[in-house]
Amino acid sequence: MIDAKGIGVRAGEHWLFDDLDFSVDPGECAAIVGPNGVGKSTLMRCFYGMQKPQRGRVLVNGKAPDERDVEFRRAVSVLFDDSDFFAELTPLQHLELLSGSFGADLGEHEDLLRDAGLGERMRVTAGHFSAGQRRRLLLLGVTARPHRVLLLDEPERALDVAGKDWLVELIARSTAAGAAVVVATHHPPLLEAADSVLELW
Amino acid sequence: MRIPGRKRFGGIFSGDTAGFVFLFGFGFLFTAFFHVDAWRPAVYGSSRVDFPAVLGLLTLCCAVGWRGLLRRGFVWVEPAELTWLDFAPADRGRVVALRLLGAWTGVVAVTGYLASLLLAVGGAGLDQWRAAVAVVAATGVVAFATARRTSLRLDALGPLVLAVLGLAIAAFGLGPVTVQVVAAGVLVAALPMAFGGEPVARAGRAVLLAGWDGRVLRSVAVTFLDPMMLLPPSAPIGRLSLRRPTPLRLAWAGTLGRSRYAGAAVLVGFAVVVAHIAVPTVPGAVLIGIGAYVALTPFGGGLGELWRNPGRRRWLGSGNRELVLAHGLVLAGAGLLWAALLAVVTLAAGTSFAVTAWFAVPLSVLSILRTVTRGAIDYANPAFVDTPMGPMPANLVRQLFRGLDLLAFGLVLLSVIT
Repeated sequence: MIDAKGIGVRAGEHWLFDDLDFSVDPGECAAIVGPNGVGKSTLMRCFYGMQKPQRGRVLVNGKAPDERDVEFRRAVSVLFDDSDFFAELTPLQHLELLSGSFGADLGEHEDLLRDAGLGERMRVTAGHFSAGQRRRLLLLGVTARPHRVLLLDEPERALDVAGKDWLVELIARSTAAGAAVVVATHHPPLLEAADSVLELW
Repeated sequence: MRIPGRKRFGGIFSGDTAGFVFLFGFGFLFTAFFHVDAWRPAVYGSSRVDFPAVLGLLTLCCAVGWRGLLRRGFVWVEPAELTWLDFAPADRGRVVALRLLGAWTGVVAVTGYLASLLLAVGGAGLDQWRAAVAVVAATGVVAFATARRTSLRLDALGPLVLAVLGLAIAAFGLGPVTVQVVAAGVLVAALPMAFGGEPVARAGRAVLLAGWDGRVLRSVAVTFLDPMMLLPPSAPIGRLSLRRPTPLRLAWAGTLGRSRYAGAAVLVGFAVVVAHIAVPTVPGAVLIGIGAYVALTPFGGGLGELWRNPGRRRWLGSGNRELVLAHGLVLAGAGLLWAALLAVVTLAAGTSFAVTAWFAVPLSVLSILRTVTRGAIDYANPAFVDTPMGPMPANLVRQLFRGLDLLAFGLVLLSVIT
């Protein structure tokens, strides 16, 4: 599902990483770990086609990643630093956006929101949410929509203990549904749940 | 208290670029008063100057200025000042009050300048001058009385009523004495409008910081030549369903969420009609086109946000074409409503536009769609070109005027045809 061969990315004169091979099959979860600034987010951007590596080639879902391509975006779901929500819409309306525009049956929206810990807030506009609630909404959004590949960049940020447990469950559900999951993280339980771990340094 | 290192008077007297721009602008604006005979045919043509229409236009300009002041963009204090200056002699309330005074002076100066220019170029008599002074002064008083306190529910109606009065002055050809009576009425209305709410100078930290955020956004938008940053966000739209057809419903929700700009759109419509009567040299297509662009651009904000914000865009599985089509359809509907309003106001004012001038409305809708679907600005290659005014970053300007280029081209074409 994700197949990278010999990829290298340079930041100025310095190679963040080079000659890197990485692959994730359907139904698998790979974790990327490493200190700040080592290139975890850069690697994720390469998988989403937001950044082109200077060396090597990447295939995601069988083709070169290009987030400008709507078909690619429909297959690959991401939670990045630039992920956002509609502050003026409620969580229920966000799920309606997903089901309506992806043409998918997500199941009972209210059940999904209760599972995400947003049951009490499902009719409150997202602009009024706390940081943790916003994170839960974003995580629900990227996992509830149809996807074959899931890319999560430090998804545990701003989540409380219960939220982090829920995150592990979400990833397990995605892999069980056959998705290839890549998660850049500093959260140890996610490493335990991962099928493989790539350490950058 | 002055913070060390900060420039006084916005840096105007520092001898730097700001000073040059101020002096150049001041000189340019006042040169017109020494060439009124040359300006007369350009503004009013060869026909007799319709002074009631000029006074009506001036009243509308005052209404626009009043509405601008009611946005209370002057209510801000820098976070650093809120953090460090609690023990300084300059209270934050005084800072906001001074800013209110500055903003109000700006509005009065601009409307006063417009009044002076229009009347001087038209060769107005003493009565017209008295009427214009009365309108500017009365609006100044009512604008100050309402902007100095927190917003009330019916505040937005004030400028609209003043705009209707401006339209009536132009449409019925009311004389300068009647205009002075209208101004006196506005002055009387200022009295009850001054009460209620709380003085904005007593605004709390949250309001001051929100104002500061807005100011930072505005200055960044200007500094980086990116006015699309100023597209207004949507207000919550209640429980409106976004189920299929989702793109169309989202576009509708975005328009409803920006309905607070409907009043401004009406104001612009009035201004277009009155300007058509007062300044006959400007082609009708140009007035309608610019008016429609200004009135409808806020309603293109929903599509603009999707284009500018990839994080939001990812919530939608729809293709770009489908999104543009859906938003274009809703924007065209808004354009149709605005055109209908314009037609009614035009008829009420006893004037008319050429049939071809109305094509400026769909042209503006297309221009807005082109404007808001501009990608992120590429600063890498500004491509400076030498001009008599100095070097111009041609590539940045090309990106800045995306959408406006189509509008300008179309309006020139429509004006020629008309």
